Amino acid sequence: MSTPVALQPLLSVDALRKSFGGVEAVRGVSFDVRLGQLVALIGTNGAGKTTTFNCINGQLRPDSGKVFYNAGALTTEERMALEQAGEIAKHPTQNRSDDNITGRPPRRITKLGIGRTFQITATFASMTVLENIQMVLIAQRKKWRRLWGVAGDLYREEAFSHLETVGLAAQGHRHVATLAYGDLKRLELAMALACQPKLLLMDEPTAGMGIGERDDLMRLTHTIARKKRIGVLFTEHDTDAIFNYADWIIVMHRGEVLAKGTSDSIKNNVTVREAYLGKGNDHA
Amino acid sequence: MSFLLIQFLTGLSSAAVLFLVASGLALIFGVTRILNFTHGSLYMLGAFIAYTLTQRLGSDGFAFWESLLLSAGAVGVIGAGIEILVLRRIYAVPELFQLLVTFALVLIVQDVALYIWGPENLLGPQAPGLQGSIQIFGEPFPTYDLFLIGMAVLVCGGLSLFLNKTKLGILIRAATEDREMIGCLGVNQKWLFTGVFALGSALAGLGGALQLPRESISLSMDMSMILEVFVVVVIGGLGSIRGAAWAAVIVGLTQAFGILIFPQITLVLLFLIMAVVLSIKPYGLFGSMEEMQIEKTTLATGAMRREPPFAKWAWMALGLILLSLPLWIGSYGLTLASEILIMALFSASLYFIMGPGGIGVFGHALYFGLGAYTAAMGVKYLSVTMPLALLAAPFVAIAGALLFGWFCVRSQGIYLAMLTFAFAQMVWAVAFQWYDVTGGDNGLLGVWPDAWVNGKTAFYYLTLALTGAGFFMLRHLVFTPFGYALRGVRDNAKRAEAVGLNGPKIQYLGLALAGAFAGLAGALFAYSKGSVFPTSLDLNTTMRAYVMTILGGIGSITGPLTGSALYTTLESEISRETDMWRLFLGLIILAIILFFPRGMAGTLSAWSERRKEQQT
Repeated sequence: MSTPVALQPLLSVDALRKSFGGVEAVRGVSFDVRLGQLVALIGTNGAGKTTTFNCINGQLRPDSGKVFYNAGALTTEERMALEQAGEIAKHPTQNRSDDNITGRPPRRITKLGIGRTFQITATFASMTVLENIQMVLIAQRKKWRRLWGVAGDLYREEAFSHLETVGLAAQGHRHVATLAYGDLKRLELAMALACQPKLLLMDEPTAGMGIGERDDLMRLTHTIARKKRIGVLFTEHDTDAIFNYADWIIVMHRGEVLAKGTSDSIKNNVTVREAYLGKGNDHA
Repeated sequence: MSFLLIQFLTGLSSAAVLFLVASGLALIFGVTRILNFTHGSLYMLGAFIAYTLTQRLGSDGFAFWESLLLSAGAVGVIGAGIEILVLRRIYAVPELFQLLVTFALVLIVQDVALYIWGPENLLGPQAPGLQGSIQIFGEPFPTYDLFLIGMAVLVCGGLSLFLNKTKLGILIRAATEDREMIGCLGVNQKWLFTGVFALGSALAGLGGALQLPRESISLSMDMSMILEVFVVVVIGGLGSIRGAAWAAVIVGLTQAFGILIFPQITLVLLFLIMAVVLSIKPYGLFGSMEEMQIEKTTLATGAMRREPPFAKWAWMALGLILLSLPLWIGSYGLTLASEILIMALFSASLYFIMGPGGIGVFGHALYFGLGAYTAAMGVKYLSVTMPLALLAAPFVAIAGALLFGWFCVRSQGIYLAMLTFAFAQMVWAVAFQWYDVTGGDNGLLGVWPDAWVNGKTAFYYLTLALTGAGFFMLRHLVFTPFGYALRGVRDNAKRAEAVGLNGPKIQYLGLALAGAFAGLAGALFAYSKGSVFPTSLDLNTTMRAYVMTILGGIGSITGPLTGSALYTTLESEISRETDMWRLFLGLIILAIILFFPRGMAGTLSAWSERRKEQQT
């Protein structure tokens, strides 16, 4: 089937299923992520968030269902502008199956422009902050095979600019081991951005952070997603982070999608309150 | 048909002894996570002690069996002693250091056993009541071997009853799953570990004692057994007793039938099975990757910085000293200096793969030996000139690294280390057994440099030029994009993959690069000695490089240089006084690691902490 690229969302998860030895962790989950959007995947522990997440990033191969990734996606605003101008029809079309990334290994998925951050931060511990970014750039440009030259001299300016984006430029020459946890999270974000992703997968980005730090990180992510035209899918438990910054929320419960919607609609959704948010006002 | 049955039973009887020893090793590994090189030595001690006891107590009826059991008990006590005195101090250090410590104990036991029992092979008494053979389908089969099979089945059953039905057994199994949790539940881990170590050691001792009526006992029993037992536990999956049982049967039968088909290369066959099993199941038949990730302390060293400006002057001063050496040091000193330089290059190549690469390997001597044999065989059979031989050696080593490394990088941690060890032993076995081509343990002689460098001074300058170039290339490689990628994969494999680095491929190429420099060192070594022996491929050669690297400090590539200077000089001084060089090497390793309780890595990170504090 051939459809205009511009109409397809950035990421489409279609009827995903995955079970572990008889336990169905994910039972037919579908949702979309659009360019420039922050989408939160929420639910209690055991709801199937992480399994869904890992089926997308290639850590797991789903039993059935598909994951589509469309590198030529547009933001909602761009799409609406095109529609108003009536130019959608002129836009290139392509087969949906070309976008199918289901079951590809993580390294291949990364190369398509999908960056990620980990629940427990994963950085290169023996390097400085700047070198961490340089390492990413060296890997991205396939310069790692080089047996000559000094790695520390490569892409310095560019690496610094990524650090500036997340506000770490002043700490460029510090060693990763000496960073505060919040800075480590920001470094990880910068490393993911250095891959120039269209889609960013963040597994519990604010876990283990102080309250103020959480808000800073989410605001930063939000700004970057808008400015750099990136779609973000994140799992999260912190209700402030979810309701203040997510454009779209997907609530999972026992392996299924319980509800989808904007912050307001989810906050007021009776089933969601019962299953996840609790009956109190700020109970999470 | 009946012949095959007999062969089958023969296989099972060697599997029986293998299982007894391997189950002890698996038990110890499961709980302590230490892959214990000393296990083969404990097995050997079991045989020697049983021999002495049968001499003292008599060898008929009750006294014989009493001697066997007493010997197993004595080895259990020795094992407990080793655990309490040495191993208890090193549970928290990186696994590579643990392996080095147990290897040090192997060396010490070798020289102690030599001192007590002498170099001659000893022949023990026959087992009373089990002499001779019985007829199975018209073919004779030794009664004692049948008894051994029964014994192994008995021990296997006893162990599984003990581990599954008794409270202590359940605690031991729980400890293999989660040591910390066991501690939280109020179990005294310290004594649990000691107990398990004693039990495992006693099993090794029993295995050794039971060999008494079967074969003459010798000082080489430890190494040959530890090799086979390592293969068994690695095939079975480290820490799995069930795996050890199945793998012992596989290995025993392969040897029994392999000897019919390829009598010369049973050792090669052994490691081939291991390579095949691990390339299909990288963590052995019953092992899992999760198991390997429990509390793994890696060798990750602290940050690597470029040298301070004054280092340039230090290098220049060192260069001047080295250049002027022939003027004042004399002939003996010059030979020693050449050897120091060659071993420094070899150690530096090991450092490259274990420091920035973060990969512990136990078969690095393979590339050194390949280089040495390339040069020697080139001179011997093809009469190649020296420049050509020196050029070819690194390439042959690279080829070897690319061939064997392909299997190695599929595994990780101890499995990877053991695979590199297995391949080195395979090549060693070929060099040792293929008399017509390699000269076996007589080696290849007459590998002298070409006329233009056939003086001590000329050869020294050539060595200085080549090792110097190799050393600086390795030093530079650490800071190249490839060096960074290697470190990136070591630092965080998950992150490396997420940014698009292919970890196994990078490690594969890293192994090949390190192999090239080891190969060059090997070729130079052959020319400096004028000969090559299979020992250039063996574990002691790898261990020497480790000792040098750690002695000098694993924080930077200057470590191997200072380490080689210190160690080579010491060894050559000591070997003039005594021939107990094993004891000496063993004690040095023990001293280094025990006096830096957290290993050099800990000392190093403390050092880099201090640096960081100064910076901020």
